[in-house]
Amino acid sequence: MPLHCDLQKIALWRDEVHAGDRVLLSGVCYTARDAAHKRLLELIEQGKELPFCVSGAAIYYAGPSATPDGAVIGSCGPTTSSRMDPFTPALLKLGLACAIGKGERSDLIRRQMQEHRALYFCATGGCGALYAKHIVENRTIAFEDLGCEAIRELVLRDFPVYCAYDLCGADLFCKE
Amino acid sequence: MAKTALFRSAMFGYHKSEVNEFIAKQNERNLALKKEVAELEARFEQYRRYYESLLQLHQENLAVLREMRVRASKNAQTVRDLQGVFESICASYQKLDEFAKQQQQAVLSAKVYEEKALKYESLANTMREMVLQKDAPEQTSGLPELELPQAIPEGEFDDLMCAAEDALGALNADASAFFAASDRFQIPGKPENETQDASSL
Repeated sequence: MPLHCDLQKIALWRDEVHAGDRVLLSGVCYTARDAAHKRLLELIEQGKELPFCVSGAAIYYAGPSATPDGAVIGSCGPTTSSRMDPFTPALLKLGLACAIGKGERSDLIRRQMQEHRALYFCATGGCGALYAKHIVENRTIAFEDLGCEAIRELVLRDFPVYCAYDLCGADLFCKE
Repeated sequence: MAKTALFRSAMFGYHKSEVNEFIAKQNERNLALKKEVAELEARFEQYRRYYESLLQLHQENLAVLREMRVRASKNAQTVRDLQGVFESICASYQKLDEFAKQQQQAVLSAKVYEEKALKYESLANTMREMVLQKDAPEQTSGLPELELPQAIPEGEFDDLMCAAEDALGALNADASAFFAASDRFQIPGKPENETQDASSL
């Protein structure tokens, strides 16, 4: 049975989730891909205010396609998480609580996520149409000039993911 | 394994302590292997559940895509219907253009008929005056194109009357043809109910 988890109460349940668990996420998260991460890192380096509060936040590595008429959002599948690895440590230091993406990450990031008590969830590639159905609100909040790579605030409802890295250090991708 | 060890010791004379040690080692190894198998089975079970749920997720995604395909198909049909309506409107506009050209030609034809009728009417009036004023032929000098004689001889009067009646007959025929034609056309500036009777000429 999948676990129903509220992203705004992640502190309450993050210890209970283990690698391999199927989780249905609900609540607010922010989309950001490579270009948006680069800009976030620049803002952090310059000591400027970020477009959203990273502490306790969840980031979904995705760039949704154009929103069709009458829909909340276009197809919104995950992108490869490892491309975000160079930017993740800075965000973890600011208190990033959860990342959602696709595929494995480097050992360094896996260890750092465990150290900062952050969870990493895997969304399934190729299921963008299904994921769009589980997004109930969509609002662009920053870097609109980046198009699909702009930062969006999404409200998820029962968004199906798998826990890939848990707080015990377990790894869904472990091949040993 | 333990039975084999005992059998071997019976046959080849191993010491009991050696046999026990051997059995203990084998048991230990068995336990370790069992533990490993249990772990592998647990991992296998975890992956099985993971892949089953992935499969389920893909099936759900497929259902959503099918739904989208149905919607797209309906939209495509609507577009095709709209294209049909648009083409029909275009054809109607083309027909309207053709009608407008035909109407323009009809108006031009009607004008020609009208001018012709006026000419005939004028000719008929002239001839009537000539007939009525046969005793005053000098007054017809204003019609050089007819080249009438100054005085009409008595014998030729009947011929002249016949010619006038023929001309009137031809005029009536032309006028009838004109008004018959003009009834079919709407002449701009001319009220629809204003019809002319050819016989009034």
